[in-house]
Amino acid sequence: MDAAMINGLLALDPRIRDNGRLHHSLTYVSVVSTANTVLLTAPTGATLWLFALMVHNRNAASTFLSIGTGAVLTQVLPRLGPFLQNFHDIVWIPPTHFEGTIYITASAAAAATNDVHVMGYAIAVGGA
Amino acid sequence: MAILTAPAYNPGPIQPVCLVGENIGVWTQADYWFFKVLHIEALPASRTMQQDIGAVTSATSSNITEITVARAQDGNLLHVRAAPLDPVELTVYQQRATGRHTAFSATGVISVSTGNRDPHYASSTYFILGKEKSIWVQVANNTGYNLAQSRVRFWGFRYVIDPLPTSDINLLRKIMAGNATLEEKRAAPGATIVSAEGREA
Repeated sequence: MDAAMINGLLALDPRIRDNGRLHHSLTYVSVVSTANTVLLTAPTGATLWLFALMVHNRNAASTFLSIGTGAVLTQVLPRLGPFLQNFHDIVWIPPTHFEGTIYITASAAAAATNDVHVMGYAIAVGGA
Repeated sequence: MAILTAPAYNPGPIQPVCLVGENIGVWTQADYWFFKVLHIEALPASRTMQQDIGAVTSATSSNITEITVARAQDGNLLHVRAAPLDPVELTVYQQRATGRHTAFSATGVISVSTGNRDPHYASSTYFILGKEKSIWVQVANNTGYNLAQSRVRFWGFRYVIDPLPTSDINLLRKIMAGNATLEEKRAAPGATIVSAEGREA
């Protein structure tokens, strides 16, 4: 899966072509401990199509990432990883529809603050 | 003056069917009603013009729901198009019990796929006359998965309208019925004709 393929898929869907816009948080998320963390908040009235993550694993061990919706995580994507220690790269994801705010959980417990840095990139459809 | 049928369903972005100061004829309640257009303004596609019909379980349909975001004020005519933002199929009614997009034994629905063949959703054009004549929508979920929401977005134009004098209305109705003389046709004011509800054969 690369950027060109994602571009083609996003252009296929009229909802995204006509009503979509780029959406990401204004700063990366620090996934600390194994608690659920908000990765990307959905704008009011909008749903999100996640297409990329930027991940930096600053943990002393490799980690897996679980991504879904709800503070009590309803997992949407299969578990991503393992992201090895010091992993830092962009992870392309087949455009995946999240019906609300996206949450993320790391498998490795926190050894320090700012454990795993993640930035989610999505297309918001509908809403503000 | 000519009576024109509005090219409301032509391919392309939605555009007003007439200019301010011109006349418009609206088919509803089994007759034509004629008005002068006093003002036109856009209804931009936006969050506030978006209605969530609600959660829909897989392989089920919602109740037939009134569209309140595209409801006209008295003295107004709305000219809107609709597009679903979630993977549902819209069956449209106008009036409440009169289906739109009907053939002999099938009813066309507006879906996400409509936008691929009809990029500007011209086939989902509706005219809504006054606040008591909303369109109603039933959404069907045939995705195979439960949906938490079924959003529909509307956009288009609002016309502020004023009824023509009764004599003009009667004359124009006579022309539409095919009963007017040549002199009557010449004397009649012009109008652009649209339809604000489904019509049985």
